[in-house]
Amino acid sequence: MTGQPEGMIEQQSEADGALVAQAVAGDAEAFRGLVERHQDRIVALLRRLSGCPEQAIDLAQETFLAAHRHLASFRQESRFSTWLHAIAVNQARAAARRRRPVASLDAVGADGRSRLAEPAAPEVSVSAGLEREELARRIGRALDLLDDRFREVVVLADMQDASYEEIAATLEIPIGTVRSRLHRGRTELRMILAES
Amino acid sequence: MTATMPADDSAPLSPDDPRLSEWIDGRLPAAEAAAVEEAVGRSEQLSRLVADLRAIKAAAASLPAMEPPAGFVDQVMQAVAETSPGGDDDRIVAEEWREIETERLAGERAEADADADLTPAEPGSPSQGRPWPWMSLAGALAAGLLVAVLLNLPGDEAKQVAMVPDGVESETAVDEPEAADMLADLPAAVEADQVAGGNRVARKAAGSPEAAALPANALARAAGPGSRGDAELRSGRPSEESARRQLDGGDPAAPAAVAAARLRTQPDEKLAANPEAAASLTAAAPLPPEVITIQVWGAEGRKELGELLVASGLRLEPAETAGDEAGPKARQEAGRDAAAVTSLLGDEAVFLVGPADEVAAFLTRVGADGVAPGETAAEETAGAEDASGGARPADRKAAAATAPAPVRVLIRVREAPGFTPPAPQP
Repeated sequence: MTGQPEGMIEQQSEADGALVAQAVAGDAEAFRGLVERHQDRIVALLRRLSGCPEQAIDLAQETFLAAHRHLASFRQESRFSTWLHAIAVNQARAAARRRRPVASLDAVGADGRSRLAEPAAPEVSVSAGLEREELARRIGRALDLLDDRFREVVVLADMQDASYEEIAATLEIPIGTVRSRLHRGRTELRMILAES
Repeated sequence: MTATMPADDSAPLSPDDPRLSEWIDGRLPAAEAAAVEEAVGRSEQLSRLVADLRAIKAAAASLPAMEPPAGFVDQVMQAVAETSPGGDDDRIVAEEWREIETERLAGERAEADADADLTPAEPGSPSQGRPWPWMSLAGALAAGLLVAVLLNLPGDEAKQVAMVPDGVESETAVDEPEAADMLADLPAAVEADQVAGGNRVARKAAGSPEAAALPANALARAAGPGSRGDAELRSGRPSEESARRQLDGGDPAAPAAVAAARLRTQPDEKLAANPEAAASLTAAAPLPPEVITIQVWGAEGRKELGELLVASGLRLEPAETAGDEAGPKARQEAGRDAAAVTSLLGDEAVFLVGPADEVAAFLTRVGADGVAPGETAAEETAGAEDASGGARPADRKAAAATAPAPVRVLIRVREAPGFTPPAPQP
């Protein structure tokens, strides 16, 4: 989830693994090292998933606390960063559930798609004539309106630069679902931008 | 890992086709990518869509990432320290517990002293000036042996003794037949110490090699409630008077024991200033009990923990009223009421009271991760009904008579952050 060359990712993963082992053995400084290494990405992720900067900080802290509590159960079968991102996503989901009622399953079709009203495809390009900065600002707002399932995938893919496989592991969904949610999330973002 | 293009490459591509995003992300094999590119090139709608999706992807990637505030790592580490076993929160609770227990023990000591004063003095008893020096010597010897036994109590047994709550022991005959049998074989010489009631029995027990094999709670039981020996046994620490007698008897360990006895009601900083006494106190002290944190998720989790507690047969006592004047029966009634239990669970620190094995089993059952909504207590409730729910009072009393020693464990019930309820089942 770093957008870096595979070799560098592997090195970082190994470094994480060593710190995890030391932290599990009771080395507080090793856990501090893990927090220092991952705080930027976790805070940024939670900012986008929660839509609220203040809540993002709280959720990030809870994420690291939960990671510390369950560190001994982390078997290093996946990357620590993937495991940590999964905890962060769960924190964001739990916070979202506390904020608003869960959508009825009736609104989701057998294909996993929302049965809510399908907005019409925009007739003109939503990006035409917009500076990237302005588009980014509007996308930031549009992300907050996106369904959680799609926002998670879009944020992980386009903002955290996670691979489809990493997203699948983080969200514990099939890779085919990652593909469909990502495309659906992007197209719905486009719809929201067209309406705004 | 990717879908295969339709056999007819000239078929129009749906705008909803995920391969469009895969193509944008460069994840399609070359052949499929070429087919998608061709389809997009033929459709103005797809071309516009792809241009927008590319722009959205690029703009999303360029969104400024929120940075952690200064000191975030320190905040996390502080929170970790506070929530870890033995962390600040636990230390605070342990200190509160220590204060509560110190007050309780001081009260017991005062009661024991009062009992001793009210006991009709027998001729030649200590209150009569100990006219026979050899009796004083025997008393000092017995007290010294008692202290020695106490100091050598295994930690777990000492803990059990310390955790025996007031009143409960009077309803629960723990190992008493075994204790009585062993007491019957004690050396008669110890009987020469003519002191009141329970002290005599306790010293009798303590003054024999067999006593070392007695369960600590049996010794406490044998000593009888309200006696000084009983208080010492239940606290696991010698009183200052006993320690002084130990000192008078020439015991080399006595100075530390005296200091430890003095320190039992003094601030902890005194311990730091006297390492020898602190070591002695630590060796003798059964305190504090395990401070257990049970995490719950929201009101529902709290309620289910209450249901599990009711089903388990254990009970809660508010820390501030543990050992109060309400009496064991009243507290027990309160502990059986689900609403009262749930209410108590709102407190920061409460005592969990019950037979040691059941307390341990309960804590194991709720586990480190606590009680989450969805972990139904139905099975627990059913099991409890089978086991004791329908039992007659007489049966319960009989069961209580053979039950293991009751313990009292300090628990904290706290909200667990970030719980994800189980996904709804289709």
